[in-house]
Amino acid sequence: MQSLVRRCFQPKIFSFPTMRSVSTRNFTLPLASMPLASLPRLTPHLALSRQSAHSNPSNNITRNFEKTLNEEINYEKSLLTDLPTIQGFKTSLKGLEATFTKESKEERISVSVHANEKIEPEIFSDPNADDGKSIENFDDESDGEQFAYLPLIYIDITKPNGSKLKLDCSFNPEAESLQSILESGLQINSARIIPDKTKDVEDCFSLEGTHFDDKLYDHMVDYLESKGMGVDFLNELIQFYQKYYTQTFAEYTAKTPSSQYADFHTVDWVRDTVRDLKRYKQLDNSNSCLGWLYKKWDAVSAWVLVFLVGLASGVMAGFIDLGTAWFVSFRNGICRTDFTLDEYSCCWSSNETSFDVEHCREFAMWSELFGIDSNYTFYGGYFFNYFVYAIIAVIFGFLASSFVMVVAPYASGSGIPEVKTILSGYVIHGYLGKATLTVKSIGMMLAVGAGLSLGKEGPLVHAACCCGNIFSYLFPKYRKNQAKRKEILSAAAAAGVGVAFGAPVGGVLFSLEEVSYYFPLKTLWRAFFCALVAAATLKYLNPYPNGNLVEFYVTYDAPWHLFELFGFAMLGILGGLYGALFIKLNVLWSSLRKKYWKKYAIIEVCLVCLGTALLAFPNPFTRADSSEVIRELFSECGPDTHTDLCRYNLTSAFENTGQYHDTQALQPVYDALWMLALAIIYKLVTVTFTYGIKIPAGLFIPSMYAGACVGRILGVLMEQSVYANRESGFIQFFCPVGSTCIVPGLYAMVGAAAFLGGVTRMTVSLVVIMFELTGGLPYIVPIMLAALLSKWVGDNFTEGIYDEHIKLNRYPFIESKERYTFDAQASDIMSPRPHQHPLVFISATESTVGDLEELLDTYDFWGFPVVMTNESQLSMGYVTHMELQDALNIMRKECGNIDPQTLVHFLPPNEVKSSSGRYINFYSLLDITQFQVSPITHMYNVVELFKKVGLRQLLVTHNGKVTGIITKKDIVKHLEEIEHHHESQFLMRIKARIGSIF
Amino acid sequence: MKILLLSLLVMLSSIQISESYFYEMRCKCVCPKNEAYEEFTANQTVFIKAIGGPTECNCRYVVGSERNDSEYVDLVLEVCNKCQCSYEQRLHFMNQGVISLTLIFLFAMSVYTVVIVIVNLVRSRRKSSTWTQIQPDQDEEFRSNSYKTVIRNRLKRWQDQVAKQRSVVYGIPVPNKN
Repeated sequence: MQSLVRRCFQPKIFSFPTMRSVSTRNFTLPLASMPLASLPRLTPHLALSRQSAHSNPSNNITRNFEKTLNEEINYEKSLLTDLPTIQGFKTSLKGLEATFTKESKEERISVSVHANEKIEPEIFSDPNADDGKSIENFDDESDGEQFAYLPLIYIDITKPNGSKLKLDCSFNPEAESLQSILESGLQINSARIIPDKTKDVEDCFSLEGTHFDDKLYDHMVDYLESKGMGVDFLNELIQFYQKYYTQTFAEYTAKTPSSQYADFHTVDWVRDTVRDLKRYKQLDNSNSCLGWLYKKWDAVSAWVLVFLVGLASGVMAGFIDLGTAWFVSFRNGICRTDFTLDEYSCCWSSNETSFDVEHCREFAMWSELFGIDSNYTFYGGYFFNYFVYAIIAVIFGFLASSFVMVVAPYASGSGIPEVKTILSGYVIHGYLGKATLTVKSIGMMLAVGAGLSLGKEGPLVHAACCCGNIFSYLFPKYRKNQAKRKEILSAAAAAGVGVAFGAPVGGVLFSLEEVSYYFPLKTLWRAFFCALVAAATLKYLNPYPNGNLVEFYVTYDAPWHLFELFGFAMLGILGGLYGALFIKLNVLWSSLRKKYWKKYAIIEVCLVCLGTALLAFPNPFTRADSSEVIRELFSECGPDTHTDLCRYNLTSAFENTGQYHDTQALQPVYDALWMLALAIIYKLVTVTFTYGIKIPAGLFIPSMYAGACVGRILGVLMEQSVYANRESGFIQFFCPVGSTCIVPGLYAMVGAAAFLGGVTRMTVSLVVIMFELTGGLPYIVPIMLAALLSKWVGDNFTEGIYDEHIKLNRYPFIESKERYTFDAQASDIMSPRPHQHPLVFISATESTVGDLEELLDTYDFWGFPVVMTNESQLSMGYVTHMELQDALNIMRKECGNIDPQTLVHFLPPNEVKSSSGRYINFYSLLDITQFQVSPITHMYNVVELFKKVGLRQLLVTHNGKVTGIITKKDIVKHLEEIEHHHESQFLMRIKARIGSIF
Repeated sequence: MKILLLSLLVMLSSIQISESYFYEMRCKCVCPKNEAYEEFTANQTVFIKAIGGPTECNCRYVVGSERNDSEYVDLVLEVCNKCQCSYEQRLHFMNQGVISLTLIFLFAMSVYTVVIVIVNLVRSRRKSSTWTQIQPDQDEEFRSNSYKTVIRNRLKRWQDQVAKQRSVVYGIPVPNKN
């Protein structure tokens, strides 16, 4: 224990007032923030025990631990290879300690240096630079040598009879150049003579002590020189130390813990980016062949990772598509020949499908299977099927929701708001984990199978991001750096949408427009590649038997006419209104749920399932799978459409051309339109209740469904009115007899785009997704018009559904699309506000271990501003809670119990006052580069800083004095307040207007 | 990971070997019901035939039989005028495999869920009634160093995580660790 204590404190009797810049046990940042698990590499004594563990495999250490240790040892060895040697001495390395020994018959000389003990010469220290943290290489002007620190040197000379001379030496810290350091030679701080092995007595000399006069000192220097420790030795030693020090500490930087963020914390992009740059620089510095290879691998790894993510997303989407199809058809019945087949596959080779019976013989409806009524007439069979339909819906819903509740609660919902928040720099542990992925995948199939008003497209984005996150763990570059990992997640989100709709380019744009926060070109290309791989994989798995990648492929390409733009614009406006209405209702309902019955999620899901099933079954358009209906609504009437929507009066003229539209609709078509109208109301109601319940649920498909219904109705009405006026000059001008005039399916397509746009407020990505999804390349302009109008209209009322849900859940997300227009200053927003608890500081010179521990226990802040003294409050920097805690823990572990009264400094080592006595220096924990603004900075600039630089917090200083702090959450809160303010002002204005009228 | 490798293998091999080896292909023609063509579309409107590739999907082949006289061919052509044919393909074994896997998985997950619920119930009851009983268990956990303990610890940590997630999503408080 003696030696351990020594490691932490300057032993009193050997401390020298002249040596101002001696800071022995300087806790450097990476070292201090190491987790306890990787502690062994820190200190030589632990390194020893580690080696013994390695040499003795039968030790009782668990295999995992041993493996980690072996890895670390190998890593260490690989780093400490090309160290310079010192002539005449044998080098041995033990952890951070390097020892040089020279043995002869008369004596044994050992010289040791410790990488964690050093002095910082004045010539190299710049108090303004962040030199305590990073291992900078200084260029010495005189001879181009690179070094920053000089070691403390311990010399032991042992005679065969056991007498010892122990010297503590250092280099002259006040030297002006390397040359002068060498010239002035070693500076002996203390000398102890142990005359005999048997005796416990020792004589101690120190530099300014009474016993150490000049004569003796000179004699001792001469003595050392005669033993081979002259200028050459020192030169070699310094060179060795520089290299050793850099390597040893560079290693710690690399081993900084990956999960440095606690749950629900905001990512500090600036810090993470700097860390990655450092890592890159370190890679760049290695010149060996292996280093070159490693560098190449590092460069390629992003692409490999993205490839793997794409592959996994594609496979997953293929599986989910196939699985969903089975669960959907299971609701109606089961395949007699092979129960693993869905209805479509079951009827694959059946030639019997005729116009009257929808289902082939091989596929048995539940009523048929139980022999209730094989003819499927109204009484009996109908009600039995109704009953089974509802029961299965409830069972599926129950299963999905209980999986979510018991196994992975984060699998609930669509996940896009959360993914968006995570990508903006927020940590939610486990949100993108394996369990979430599993439950999400299976829950998606069950939820769609239950016939709820939801889609699997949104959850697929979340699932793809899970793949991205899971695969990131294979690559240290991404495992350890949250900010870097977000780039992969952006690419994964693109692949998610890409496979959900079979629209890879749309996926990339979706990631850019809707999900990602930070999307440089590099990420764009990776997202592109990821989406490409995912789409190719999915294509090979062939989930849609029509040979296309997409579900809603349309075959028509008839041109649209200018006058139709009126209809498309109307759809756009309706879409915006629908979106706003839906968002208002859903947010209201969700906030009620949050308040009152959050706990009873399973019951809620079952009730919603039951309600949906009961409402859905009577209407053929709502009973069938939503995607199926959308496909039918999009497509042109033809011989293969079964529904009443295509019961047109096929006169002989038209029959010859085989055309089904631009002709008179019969009564069944109008009946079907009524059904569609009911389906829209049904959809609006059910999706309002459904989106947000605790099962995987997206709203792309339900929104598109509603839009397609509205569009089809409008399309048929347009078609019929054109048909009625087909003789008029206007119509004749656009549609001469015999040509295709109005395609109702096109209206359905535009309607779907408009409604989806109204709900999500996508524009570019929506258009691209729509034309990729349908293959309707000629219809870009109508879709663009509708998407834009729906966004304009919708934005007047609410924000997009994802943003509204982010707000509802109070995630710290700063909307990057909106401009800050409020007039405020940094001082208005910063904490503490006038009535609040005053800011908690850490004093750089006056704190004690006890103070810090109390502070850490009392306050749960992310970090604390460090000031010079409590009185002056001069800003020094910022220190994070977690790192401080870790540093204290590690120190405690190394040094045993520490007196709580021990001083803790946050000062550059050369500024520590000599009278400080025992102290610990945590200077290396300090983030000196913390961003600071003046209190009168306009909030626009502050918000932009947070948005563009990705800050986590900002110190507000006035004349160097810390007056407050602004965190990302403060900004979010402020933006929220502004919005409430605007809203209340708007309401007041309306009230005043109403008041003036009456 | 295994599934991934497997699918990679399937992908690679399906690229090498021709597609027809894996896919089942059919041509499906749907014709409007028309009593006039007694032989064809009076009773049946859907015609399906297995084919060897997308190019083989034509109505004449699917709707007509092997008769070759010109009168018959003309008739078939006339019928085919109004039919819609589409080429379709599927991976049969893929379908079966995926569904079987999913069902097994679903079953396993249900069992797991039930087990977890029961264990939690039992544990909470034990905790509330005699809280000393749990103490020796924990000691034992720390004492033995077998793989069982490792698994148990991992499970416990995992359960704690889920409990935390549950508190976020459902507002159910994290059970007291004591």
